[in-house]
Amino acid sequence: MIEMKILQKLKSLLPTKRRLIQLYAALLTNANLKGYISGKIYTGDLKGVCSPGLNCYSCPGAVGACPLGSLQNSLSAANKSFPFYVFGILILYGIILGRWICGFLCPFGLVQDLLHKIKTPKLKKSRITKALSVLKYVILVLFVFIIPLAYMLKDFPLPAFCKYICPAGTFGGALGLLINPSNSTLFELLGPLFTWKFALMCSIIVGAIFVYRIFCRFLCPLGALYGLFNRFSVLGIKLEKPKCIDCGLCVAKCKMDISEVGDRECIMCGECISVCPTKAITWRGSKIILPENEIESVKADESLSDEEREAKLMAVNKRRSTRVTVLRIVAAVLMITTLAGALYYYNFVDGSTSGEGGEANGDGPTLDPAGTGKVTVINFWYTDCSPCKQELPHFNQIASEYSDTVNVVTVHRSDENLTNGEAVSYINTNYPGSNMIFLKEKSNPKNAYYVHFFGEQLVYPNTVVVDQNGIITKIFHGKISYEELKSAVDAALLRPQFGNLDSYPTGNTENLKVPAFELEYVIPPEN
Amino acid sequence: MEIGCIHPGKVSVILMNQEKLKNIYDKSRLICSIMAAIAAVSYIIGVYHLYLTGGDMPYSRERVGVYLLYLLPISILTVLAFISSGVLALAITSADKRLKAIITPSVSMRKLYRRYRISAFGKTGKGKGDKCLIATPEVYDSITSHHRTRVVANIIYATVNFVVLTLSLIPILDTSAYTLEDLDGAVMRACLFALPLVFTLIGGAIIIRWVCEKSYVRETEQLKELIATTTPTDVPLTPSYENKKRLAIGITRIAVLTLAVALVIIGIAKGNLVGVIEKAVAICSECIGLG
Repeated sequence: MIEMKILQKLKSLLPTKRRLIQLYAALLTNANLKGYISGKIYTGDLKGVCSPGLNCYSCPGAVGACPLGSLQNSLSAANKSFPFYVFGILILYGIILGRWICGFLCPFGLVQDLLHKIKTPKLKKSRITKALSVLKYVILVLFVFIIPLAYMLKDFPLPAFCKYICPAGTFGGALGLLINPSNSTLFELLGPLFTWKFALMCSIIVGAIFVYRIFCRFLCPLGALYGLFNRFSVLGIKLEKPKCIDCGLCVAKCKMDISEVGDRECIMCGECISVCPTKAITWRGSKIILPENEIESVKADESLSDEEREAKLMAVNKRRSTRVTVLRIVAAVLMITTLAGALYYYNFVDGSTSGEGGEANGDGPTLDPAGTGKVTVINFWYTDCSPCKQELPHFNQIASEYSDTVNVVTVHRSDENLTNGEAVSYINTNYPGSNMIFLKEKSNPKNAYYVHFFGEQLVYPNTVVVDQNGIITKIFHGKISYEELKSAVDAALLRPQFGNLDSYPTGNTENLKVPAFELEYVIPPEN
Repeated sequence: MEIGCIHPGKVSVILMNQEKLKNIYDKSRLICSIMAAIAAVSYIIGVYHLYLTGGDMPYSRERVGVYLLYLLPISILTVLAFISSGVLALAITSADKRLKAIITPSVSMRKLYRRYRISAFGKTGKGKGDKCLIATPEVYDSITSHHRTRVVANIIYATVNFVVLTLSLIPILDTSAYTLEDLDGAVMRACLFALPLVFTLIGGAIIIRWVCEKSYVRETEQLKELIATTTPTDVPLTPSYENKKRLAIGITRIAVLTLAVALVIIGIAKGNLVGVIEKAVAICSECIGLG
């Protein structure tokens, strides 16, 4: 008896199949393990593939784009190009998997499931939680669609859900980057927004201990979107109505706010399958591979005797279990191979897209801060970056007020898809006749000038203030105010009193000479 | 609103009376409309007071700021009222389906529940005082179409609510507009842009309420007529009802799948994928709360 109890206890500690799939999906979605060690995000081309669950693409381990973040960013630029790809991917995931993604593939769902296992009193579902589950649809409509679209009209990209709500971004992205010592400069960017997001993330994490899947039930717009496909999805849970006796055990067992199995709130976890007394709940799609009607037709065949029927049923069941075993082996082999391949590729094959160098070939203007006799302010930006656009007016004002003594140079990121047209149109519309000099990175190697200052991790905006001798006096990470910029420019203007380079204070890592660098014009000068 | 019972003593489930919820919703819509009107009028008065009392320099940042401060509580209450109204519109669509009533002959409650998917707040036949009347599938479809009308009307209203609210907030909250250079034009633009939207919302609330009211009345009369004219007979329950639904789901699946694949292919051809990559390989400082 004791051995049985010990065995049962050990069995209960083993992860269930669902948990294994969740862990597998979390690992596959965050296969860039070297990112956690180096503190850098993955920058390869495969990042264009959207992961099905909520996984911020600023997380060091993320190997795919977050579907929600991609959707909001695409909507912010919808007036230039309709986001066919992102819509298509979301609909594809929805129609094939529905909210099965929430139950099995979402890393943040896994985090909440694990937190909920902590033994504390739990808040049971009620009419109030059912009413609260409507909130995620409001968030979907307002923060994912309306606000980005509204700001698109002002040519101002604003991924509102990502910026103000998403805890996965704070948890995976911010904390994942900040805990690495090589990203210490990012601490300069912490402000009220981070305080709000951190507090919200902590509330959700603590809440998840007491309330089952608190984020998924009440706040997740991705779940809300996938839930719309639940009734039509190829995979998932279904209720066989002829067998259902309406006992209500499935709804009672379920911890989500479902009205019936397989509705919009159902995350297709399959916990209800075991409690159904008539086996009316099954996995959708199972009959394609394992037809139940074989058994039904044998049972219904009245020409067979009882012994013959029993023998035939045994044979059918044996065939069925063989198919199940073969399928399981094939699935396991495929999954292990995929995971191993992904881990090898992302951690040992270099997929980075940005590079160093900056070979001069005489095609573009050379930026040489030491050769102008003026203080140079270099701002790195790009048109899809809303903080960059928010601070550009400050640079324009400095360029206008200090036109005799300061060169303000904006260096646009090199992008194959975006910019010549968009940057030109943005500059012509908002800064016609500006004293700012608009340059952009050369296409090959991409973003080399940025990489020279800040390394391969692309974080925008960044600003470098260089004095008349070409020495860096100040580096700003993130958005800055007019007062901060003015103060740095005034300080740089005072530097000539040092005269020669030997007089510069030692031990200051910002005292670096900026080399001449060849870039390109955003708007080519008229000849 | 009790519809009636064709088999007294036999049928044991009543669908929840949604009259109470409907009244709450209607009253809150009325409150929203009144608050919108108050906010709009206050806004107009505030703007014109600024305009009329300023002399040569009608506006300054401080003066505008003071007025905005007074308008702020009303604006916040109005925003909350609009959001509540929109959310209630969505909630009523969920509660509305419980107003389905169907007339039936002698069929067990379990089969009825299974075939016609009657919803109630509690479980059927558990002594909560719910009763229902069951009809043939054709009658069910007819009554469902009334319900569908109300659902669509309420969803449209909720969507318009949120869209109008957001669009009207943008020019009002754009404080950069309140600069000395173009304050006149900016405030007028905000006024002229926001106010028609707000009044559209009020008009929309009235229209939607009228549509839903008409729909309720038509459905109730249809049911009462059915109760009065139908004699209890054994009406066969048509299995084709479930088959039709299965076929519809299958067709929908194939159509949506085709659409999704087509969108992905078109997106890749148009270069959307490159745009996603370019965004994904840079750290989005806003998304992770930095900056």
